[in-house]
Amino acid sequence: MSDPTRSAAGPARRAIVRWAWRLFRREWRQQLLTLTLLTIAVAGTVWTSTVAVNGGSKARSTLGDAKAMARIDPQDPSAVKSQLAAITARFGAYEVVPHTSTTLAGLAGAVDLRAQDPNGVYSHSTLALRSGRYPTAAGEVALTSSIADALDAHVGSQVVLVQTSWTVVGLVENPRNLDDRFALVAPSTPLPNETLIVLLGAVPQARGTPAGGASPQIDVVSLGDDNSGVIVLVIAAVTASMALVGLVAASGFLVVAQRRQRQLGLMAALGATDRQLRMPLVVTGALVGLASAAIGTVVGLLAWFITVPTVERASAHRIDRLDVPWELLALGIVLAIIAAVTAAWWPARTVARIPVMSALSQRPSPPLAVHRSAALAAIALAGGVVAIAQAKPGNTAVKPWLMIIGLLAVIAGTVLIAPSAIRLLAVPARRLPFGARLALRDLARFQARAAAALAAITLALAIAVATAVVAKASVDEQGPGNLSDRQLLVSAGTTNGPFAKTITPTDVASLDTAMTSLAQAIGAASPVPLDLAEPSATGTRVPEPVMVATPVDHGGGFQDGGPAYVATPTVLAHYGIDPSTIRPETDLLTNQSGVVLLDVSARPPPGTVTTPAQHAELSPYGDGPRALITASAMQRHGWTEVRAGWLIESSRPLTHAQVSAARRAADAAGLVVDTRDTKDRVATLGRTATIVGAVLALAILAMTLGLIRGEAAADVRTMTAVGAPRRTRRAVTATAAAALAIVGVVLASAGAYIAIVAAYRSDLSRLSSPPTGNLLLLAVGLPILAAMTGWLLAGRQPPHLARVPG
Amino acid sequence: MSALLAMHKVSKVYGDGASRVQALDRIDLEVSAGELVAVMGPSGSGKSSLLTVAGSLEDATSGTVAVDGAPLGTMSHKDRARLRRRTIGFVFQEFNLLAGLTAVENVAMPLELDGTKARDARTSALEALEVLDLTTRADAFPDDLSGGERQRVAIARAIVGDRRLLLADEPTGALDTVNGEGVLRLLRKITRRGAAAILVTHDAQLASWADRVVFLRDGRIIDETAPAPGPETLLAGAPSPPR
Repeated sequence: MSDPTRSAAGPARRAIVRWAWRLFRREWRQQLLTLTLLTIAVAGTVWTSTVAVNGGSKARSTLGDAKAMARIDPQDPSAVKSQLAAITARFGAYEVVPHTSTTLAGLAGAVDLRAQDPNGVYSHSTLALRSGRYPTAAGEVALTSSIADALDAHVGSQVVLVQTSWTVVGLVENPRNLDDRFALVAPSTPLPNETLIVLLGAVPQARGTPAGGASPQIDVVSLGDDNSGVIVLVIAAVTASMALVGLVAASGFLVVAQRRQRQLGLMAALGATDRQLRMPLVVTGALVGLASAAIGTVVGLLAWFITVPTVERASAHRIDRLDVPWELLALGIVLAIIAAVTAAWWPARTVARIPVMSALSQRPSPPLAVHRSAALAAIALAGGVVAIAQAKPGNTAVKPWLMIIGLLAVIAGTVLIAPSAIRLLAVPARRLPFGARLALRDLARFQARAAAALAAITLALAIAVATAVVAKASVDEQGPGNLSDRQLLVSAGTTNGPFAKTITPTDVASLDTAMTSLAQAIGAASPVPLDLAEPSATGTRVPEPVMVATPVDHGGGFQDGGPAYVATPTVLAHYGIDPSTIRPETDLLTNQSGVVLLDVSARPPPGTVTTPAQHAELSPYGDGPRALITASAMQRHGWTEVRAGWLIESSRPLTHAQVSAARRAADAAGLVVDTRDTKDRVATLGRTATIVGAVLALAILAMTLGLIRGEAAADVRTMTAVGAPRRTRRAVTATAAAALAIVGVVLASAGAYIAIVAAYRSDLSRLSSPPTGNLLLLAVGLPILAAMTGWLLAGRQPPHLARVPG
Repeated sequence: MSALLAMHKVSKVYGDGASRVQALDRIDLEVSAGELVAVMGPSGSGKSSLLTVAGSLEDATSGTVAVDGAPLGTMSHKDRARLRRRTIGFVFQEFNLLAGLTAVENVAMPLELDGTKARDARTSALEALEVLDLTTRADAFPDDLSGGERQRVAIARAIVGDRRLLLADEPTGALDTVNGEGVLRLLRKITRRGAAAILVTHDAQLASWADRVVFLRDGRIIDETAPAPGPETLLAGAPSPPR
């Protein structure tokens, strides 16, 4: 007999594909949820990959395309000449950008004045004209929008910078760093106290390598292209997303496979081979994978195009809409299709192996022993932990492939543990009421399907948990920020040193009135005046305000700890401190530890200082009052109160318009405004991930419950026949949903923490404050929501119930 | 005449320990070409197991089964699938047809699985449908066919491509009397063309169409006899089969 396999392959394949296509057309509604979930996963991958690649902080945002830089002091023109000659000899072409720093009333922080050539060989990519033109002659300047706002300037205005009057000829920006505040003057314009930045196109052999031989000495710094963090993020996101795609698809295709079990049994009876039995589902997988990859990519790209302005604002640099990582997207699409086909192959293989008669009678295949998968899970988890730890994700020398392997191993471990978890669910069933008992036993009875759904749910939640934990750690690391988003700190600014400027007593009354008006204008309560303590003048020395400092080592050195404000009755009342609770001997009220009051005007230098301090709940923010000098300390030391600023606090987060109005008002009064400068994106990311993870888990649960409900039709018929009330039917579905959700949350949290602990093992203190709210929402909220959804879903009896074959 | 199906000392056991069930116990049965054999017996007597073991859907626990002279015990999984594509045709009580395919496509499926070109397979399938007087319903989907029509399509699929062993498990169970007798008339017609057929049934009236009736109880053949002259013999006006 000739081998029929080869000759039979073509016609047989065509016949099977035709049947698979017809089945797909017949059953597409049942696969809509799988298709939707896959599409969302692909779209999410496309969007997050594009955002991660484009939205990350781009290296060399201020210095353009230079590979290294050097700073030259231009005081001695002959020295400059020899240094530039040395640079030419060593590195070839260079670009010089003279610049100086200055301050502006109404704007906290320094402003850069640059004499930069818009066509500079390395720096041209850091300049873009928004309106007007670039300055070309002496006395012309172009401003960034923040400086123009602060100066209320526009094209054609006259502004004063570094005590010189300039004509504004254009508005500019650094498209690679929108937070870059600078004023651009013509390239040849001399600037007071300027420094020369020399941009180089070559990289020195090592950081800080001298550019020349013996002389002249110039420190050249290599500008590392450190976007490894972004790459790791993208790799992790794509890996996790594709694993999720695979698991969601596998879970969905198991549903399809079990629906088709009887038909596949018939095919086997007709003489179909195992490969021919697998093919319809694999074809379905390919069709679903192709459709979801195509639709998901389009949706993801549309979402990207729509959200580009938001991403630009969040990442503070301009983004080219078409700057899409096409190779990464192509890889993601191919992986999505492969994941869908592989996900279909697995249930296809399972169902093809079911004995023909079992398939025809639609009996579930007996659950496999779980001890082997549990052992494999332990090995995979251990291997994953080691790989992630060795990948050093917190390091610049991250090993991406090891990271991918580690993540996949942890995901595989979590998936492999799912059958054991499902089996464990059936253990307490005996003691539970009828509905719950039936639900848990059915989960164990259909172990493969329940385990696949549990694995998909677990991975969706694990991504959410991991994101929430990492986001919380990042937020904790950033600290609470300089101010709350409801606060304004209006002050006279700072001196060149660490000291806050003070306001002359004659101006205080009028400024108090101005601040009260400002507070009213933005709907805030009365401003809280902040005073500093000033020692008496001694000899010719100008007294500096008393400040807070942290003693460093034992050498008598100190580290700046910020201003120490006077504990006036208004400040004490603002923070709810009862003056009677302050001990008479206390000099300092503070929420910091190990700080002292430092009077640098004192002679001889302070040396070892101790300050009687008392803990008080003051501002958690860096620029808010964190240390107060008591009235008794003022009296003891003979210090005088001097006004330094006002804290204005609104009941709601301040809008951009309110902040702009405050800046203008402060500018008019010769003061500067400090607002919150910490972005809350990371915290938002954690919250969003939690919600998206929960929604995705619920969708997977709904898909699984749809099948459970369909398959349990015979049981429901029996229950109805024996008089079980509707609530019993509801209890079956609700218990199954809640059980899957609970086990999913537990496994997800454990898996996520295993991976994160491995990644953060060098500094586990970053995990000391878990995202309790997010975890509670998932651990308690999700099972309740799942149970409610299941309860509602099971309410309506399927109309075809009576005709469902037993 | 050589036996198309030969079962010798065939036993089939399901489960083990307390759940052990002896479905077949040392069965000896031979069915020759052109012969229609009815298998009767109470529920759980092993009728369906006999059919699935004979049709290579399940392995015998012991004993030998040979189809058209080829012993199933030594065949690979693939060879058995090929045997089912080429030699054995099944008709089940329900769920006989693939829902996504038309009647003619259902009938052509075994041929196409075996590598016959779609056009040739369709031609053969139409011929089989013609035998069963279903040509006009060739392009209808199973959902649009009546119960009797579906079962006739299933029989057409079981005989397409000159298969020689037809195994029918309660093929009339879901049909009314008229349609049920119609199916039996077809089976009789097919065996006249040289095929062998085994019919599992509870209905003595239908069993009377067979050349031979085998009675099973607890997995054993307890009796084997030719039926009294039935409707088919009367209709055909033929002499009753030998006892």
